This record gives sequence, C-alpha cells and structure tokens, in this order.
Amino acid sequence: MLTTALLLPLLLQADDTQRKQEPAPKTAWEILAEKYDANGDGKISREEYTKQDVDRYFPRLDANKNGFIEAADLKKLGRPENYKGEKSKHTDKVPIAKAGEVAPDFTLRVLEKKPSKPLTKGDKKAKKPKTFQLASLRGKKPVALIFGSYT
Amino acid sequence: MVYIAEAHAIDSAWPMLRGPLLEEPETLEERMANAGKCAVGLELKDFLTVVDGIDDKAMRSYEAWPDRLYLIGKDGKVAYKGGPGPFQFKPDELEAAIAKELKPEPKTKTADPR
Repeated sequence: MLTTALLLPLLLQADDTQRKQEPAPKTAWEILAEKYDANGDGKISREEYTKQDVDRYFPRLDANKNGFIEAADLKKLGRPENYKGEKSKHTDKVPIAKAGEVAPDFTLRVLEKKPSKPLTKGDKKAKKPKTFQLASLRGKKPVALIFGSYT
Repeated sequence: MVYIAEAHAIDSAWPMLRGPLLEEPETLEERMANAGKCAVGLELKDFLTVVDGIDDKAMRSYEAWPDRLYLIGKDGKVAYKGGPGPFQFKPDELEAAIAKELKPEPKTKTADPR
C-alpha cells in the first residue's frame, strides 16, 4: 500500500513527461501546406498542387472555389449531400469473389517492418520486395481476409 | 489485413478530419506508407498486412471498399463473404465461419461391432 502511495506520484509524473514530449498532431491544413505550399503564402494554387490527378482532388479541397486551397476551405469539408461512396478510378473487368466459388487470386506486396530496397540494376545486394500470393495457401490452410484502410 | 483505398482521406469525396489524416495515394509506395502508419497506429503486429496495388484490383475483385471480411477455405473457395462495411462488418460472423472451417470432419459411422 505504502509502496503504491510512494510510486503513484512518480508514475503520474512519468506519464506527464511522456505526454509533453509528444508533438501536437498536425491538422489537415498543416499536412497539405507542408507538402504543397511551395512559396509559403498560406494558400495552395493549382500550380503548386503537385498531385498527378489535379482535376480529381483540387476541386474537392478548394471548397469556396476561389482557385486556392486555404485553411478555411478544410474547415468546410464533410459529407456531401449526394455522397454515393468512393469509386475506384479503374474500371477494367475483374473476377468477382462469390461464396462457394474459388477465390480470385492475387499477389500483393507485403508490408515489412524493414522494407526491402527497390531492386535496382547492378545492385546485387538489394532484395526483391516481399510478396504474398493468396493461392499459395490453397490446399494448405484457410485464410481470413480483413479488407480496410486507416481512414 | 489487405490494405485498400482510403475511405475518408483528406482529399476524398467524404473527408473525415477528426480521425487519422491521410491523403489518397497515387502510387503503391504512397499506399504502403499509409499502411505502415495504420499498422503502427492500430498496433497490427499479430498478422500479415498486404497492400493492394494502385489499380485497386483486389479491392474491386472482393467488392471490399470501404471494408469487408472474408474467409477463404483450405480448398481455396470462399467459405464466408461478409456484407459490405462498415454496417455489415461483423467480426463475430467471421469468427463463427473460422470455427466451422476448423471443425474436424465428422467421422463416418462404422458398423456397430455388437
């Protein structure tokens, strides 16, 4: 009991110190500004916005349609009235997974703790990125698939 | 986990600015970076994470956006296809499907020795 009483303030103190060391998380505007506001004038023009598919993303972020993405624009973002979900940009035909049928196969990159370097010409030491093929486990063991993203 | 297209990225059609803040990726490397942040943020240490190509092929094949659960049986067939998430994302259903899949085959009845 006494030990707990003595230790508790120390533990709380340690917790406080830890909290102070963590930097405040960046806001959406800070993330975008850091990446795209090249001249640092507090707004992002179409020219500064270096994403490849400008027409898909820029109008979404320029909420007040004044031709610039600004901090105030991001405060207005939310669920659009006519929201119907996000569609993939890709529309080529793919096999669809159906209950009771053979699962469509895929070979995908594995997320590694220490990612392998990309294979470059002449670099014999570079490892090939690790991949996983679903069908490699066929006949060996069942696989649970959890599809999702961080957001 | 199969890491697919973001559901509510900053620059998505429906951004959610209170959760993790990420942009929609345009390259596989960017998607892998997002997956890495996810694995750290959600402490996904106990299972393998693979990342869908930027062609979203696995996501489209499995009709998986924004999230979905599956069990592929040992025979390579779809043993369980969960409903579309988030409202029909039901881990307890997946758990039941796994239990069923792992249940030993019922023994065929042998003739009564008596």
